Amino acid sequence: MYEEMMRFLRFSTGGKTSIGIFFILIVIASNAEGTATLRNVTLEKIDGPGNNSVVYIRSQAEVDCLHYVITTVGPTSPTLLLLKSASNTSRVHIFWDKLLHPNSSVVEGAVHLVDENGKPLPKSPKTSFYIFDELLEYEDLQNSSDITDPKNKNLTSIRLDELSWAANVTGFTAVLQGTDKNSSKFTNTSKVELRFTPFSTKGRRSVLPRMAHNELSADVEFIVDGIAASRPSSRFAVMLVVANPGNSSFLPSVKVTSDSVVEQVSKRIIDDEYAPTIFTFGQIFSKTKQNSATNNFWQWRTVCYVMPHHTNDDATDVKSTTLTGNQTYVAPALLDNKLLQGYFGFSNLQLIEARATIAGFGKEDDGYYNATAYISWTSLVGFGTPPPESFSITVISILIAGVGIPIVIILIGSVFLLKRRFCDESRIRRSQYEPIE
Amino acid sequence: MKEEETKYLLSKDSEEILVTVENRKCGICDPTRFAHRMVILTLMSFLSFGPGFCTDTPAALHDQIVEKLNIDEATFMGFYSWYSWPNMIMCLVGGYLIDRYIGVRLGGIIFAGLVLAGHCIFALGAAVRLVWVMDAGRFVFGVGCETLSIVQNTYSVLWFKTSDLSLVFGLQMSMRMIAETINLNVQLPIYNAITETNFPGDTLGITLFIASFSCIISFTCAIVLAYLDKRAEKLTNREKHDGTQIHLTDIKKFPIQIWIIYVIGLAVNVSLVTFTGLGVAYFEQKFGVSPATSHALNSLLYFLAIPMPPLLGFIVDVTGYHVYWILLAMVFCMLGLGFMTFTHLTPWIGAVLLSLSFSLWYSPLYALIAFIVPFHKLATAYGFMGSVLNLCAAVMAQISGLIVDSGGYFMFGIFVCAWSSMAMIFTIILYFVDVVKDSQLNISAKERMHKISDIGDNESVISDSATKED
Repeated sequence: MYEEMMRFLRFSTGGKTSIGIFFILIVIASNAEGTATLRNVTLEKIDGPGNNSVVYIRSQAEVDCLHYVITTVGPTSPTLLLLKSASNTSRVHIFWDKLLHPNSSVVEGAVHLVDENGKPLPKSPKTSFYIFDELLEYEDLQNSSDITDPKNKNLTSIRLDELSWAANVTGFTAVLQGTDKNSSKFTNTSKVELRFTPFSTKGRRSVLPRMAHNELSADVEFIVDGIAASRPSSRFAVMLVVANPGNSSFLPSVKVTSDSVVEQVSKRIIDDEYAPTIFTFGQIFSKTKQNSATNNFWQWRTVCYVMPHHTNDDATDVKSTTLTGNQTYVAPALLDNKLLQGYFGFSNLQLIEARATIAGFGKEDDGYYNATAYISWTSLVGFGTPPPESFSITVISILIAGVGIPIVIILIGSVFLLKRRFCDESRIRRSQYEPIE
Repeated sequence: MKEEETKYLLSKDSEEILVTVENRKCGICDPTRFAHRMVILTLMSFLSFGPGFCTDTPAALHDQIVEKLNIDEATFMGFYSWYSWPNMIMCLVGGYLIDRYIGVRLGGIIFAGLVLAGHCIFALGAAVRLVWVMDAGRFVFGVGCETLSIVQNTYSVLWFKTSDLSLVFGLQMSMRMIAETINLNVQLPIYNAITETNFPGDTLGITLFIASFSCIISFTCAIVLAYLDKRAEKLTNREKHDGTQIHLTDIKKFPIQIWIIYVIGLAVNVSLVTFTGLGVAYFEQKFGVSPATSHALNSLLYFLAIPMPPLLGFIVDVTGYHVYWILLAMVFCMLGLGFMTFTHLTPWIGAVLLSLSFSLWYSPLYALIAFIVPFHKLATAYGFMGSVLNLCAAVMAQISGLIVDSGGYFMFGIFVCAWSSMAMIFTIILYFVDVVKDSQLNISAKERMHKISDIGDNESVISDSATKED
């Protein structure tokens, strides 16, 4: 009986070990990367007449091609246009004469996708654009950092299309810098800056807020540096206009339909190891229909930094308002936008249902904007759904050890005690037998 | 038989234990009767009133101290550092002194006296505006403070080992919490009342001297306890303990179960105390609750630690199976930390579980030490436990701050979950070691009663051969 029991235990232990290893391999395999998508990402600045230029990011893969078009040509507020094409040889082509034409109705067609032979391609049904339209300033009398609080007063705005913009490309980052030599709020060094960094692989930035990214996304950093605040308790905010106009047949003569959806989500996470004390993501999703897959996303950790070198001590909050379709905010951003006129056509712009949100910077008792006169807000924009946040190897190891070791000890201890009990019982039984002689 | 002597049967067992008392009619004077033991219990509980009340006096009068003395935050925190550092060593040294040289009665008087003297020096330093005098006062206070809890533990085992030991430990914890709560709520009103009456003299110094009345209560209790214990020893012919039986190196020879218990106590204390030390910021950031709710969550642990420890201690005494109860406390701890760290569910769930764990782990664990270690080494054993707990709590407080700054609250949650898991692991190990070695730590209350009456009150459940010197 004892020997049989021991054989069973040896088999089952060995069996359990084998099954355990197999299970671990399955888990590892299922979590491993699928077929890695190799993307060829290029970043270039397309110069036009005068000081006009367009920053163009192209991310080419075997099955598709992604295009990010960023410009302030017009002048227009900094606009980011995301296009996705099923043709992996597609490129964005710009007709500068049309683009810079003062007659808005002529501009249509100035920006479009072409194949490798220069032949125009149909418009992509999955298109989104994002406009940094206005820089808002308000007096935070309540020290609540809430721009919607009616007790906070003196709301003023700086339209970003009124600044003088210059584009530069250094390495893999494009920088749009806006200044205003005629405004009393701008000194020689004051600026509003937008930095775009596309990615060709999965990963995570080493700079706070250390968001995870994938090969379908780009980093967007919005910076306010040195602009003079009107009052000691002033805070700043930026208005972001978002739209997802898309339809299967998108010909110039066809009206834009309005079943596309832009929705805002606040996502809570449990893991703040990459950005300590920040547990919330703000997200804006662009979808073709209510329950369809996400075409594009704009994502940010609800944190901004008040010094150029981001540290945890320099972190402060980002609070965003709910999306509004109020045409007072939205229309000016769209209708005068040369890039959008060039791609969609002026008549279609009036039919696009855009949404606006205001991202306010600061939290109570952080010294207001004047403490450092600097704001840096990082977002991630891209195609599809945002890359998931995952635990680090350290955390996973601790979790496995913390839960696994007690279970293993219980199992081993139980087996040991059972074995001991069987041994004792069998020894007692044997001792009860007396030899015949 | 003389008129003033009365002999009666103490035990219903076949072996008679005769006790001589002067006046059997006075139940409260009879050391073996319930009424007298309640008096002892009351006095023992109030031993910790002074330390509990005065430990957090600086926190209760933070703004006033900082303003009147014109000191910065680092100097203010020095009052806690000077209090903490002697605690780490004095627990062990004090326990050994009690076992070896001075005994529990004299030890109680000496250390209660140090507590009183230390706080008076602190008050004097505040009155004359000398920070170094206040630091010296906190140092002397710290020397006596935790050692007084060793005295309490030793008295508890001396008087209550046969029954109600966990209840008594629970009551001590509860009394400490009551004293701290009273301190946080009355110190400032007292200060304000003195300010309003324009009493001559320094308001801060006077307030602190008034607080020293709590230490006078503790000191008085120590003296009365010493007298009553001496009297009981004489009346019940209790065995006197020879201090020469204990040496400091005997710690190395403690049974493995004691070392496992030390690790359990260390791990669960680290996980609970460092987690609650996070404070209100964690709840506001992680769960988005209001500051008021955050304060309530943080206070829940201390609020429940007033009624729950004696209640749970009573249940442990009635049922026995101490290891199972410790295991349950570890399960509550892991679950509570798990809810807090891995979910966005309402933090009240985690807070209640952690409060239950906090109230449950102390009594059965400390009771087990009394069942394992013979009485003449008990103060040393408790002292070592106290030193380890204080040292690790102080170190972990520093480490936890670093972890939150670099890795955020989630990594900190993982860190305390790991400690909690370690406590669980060692509790499971304790269970199996107990079964294998048949040390009978995890038996019912009834079996334990029989065991103690068989082998004597002041001997250990485990054979003392393991602890005897060669």
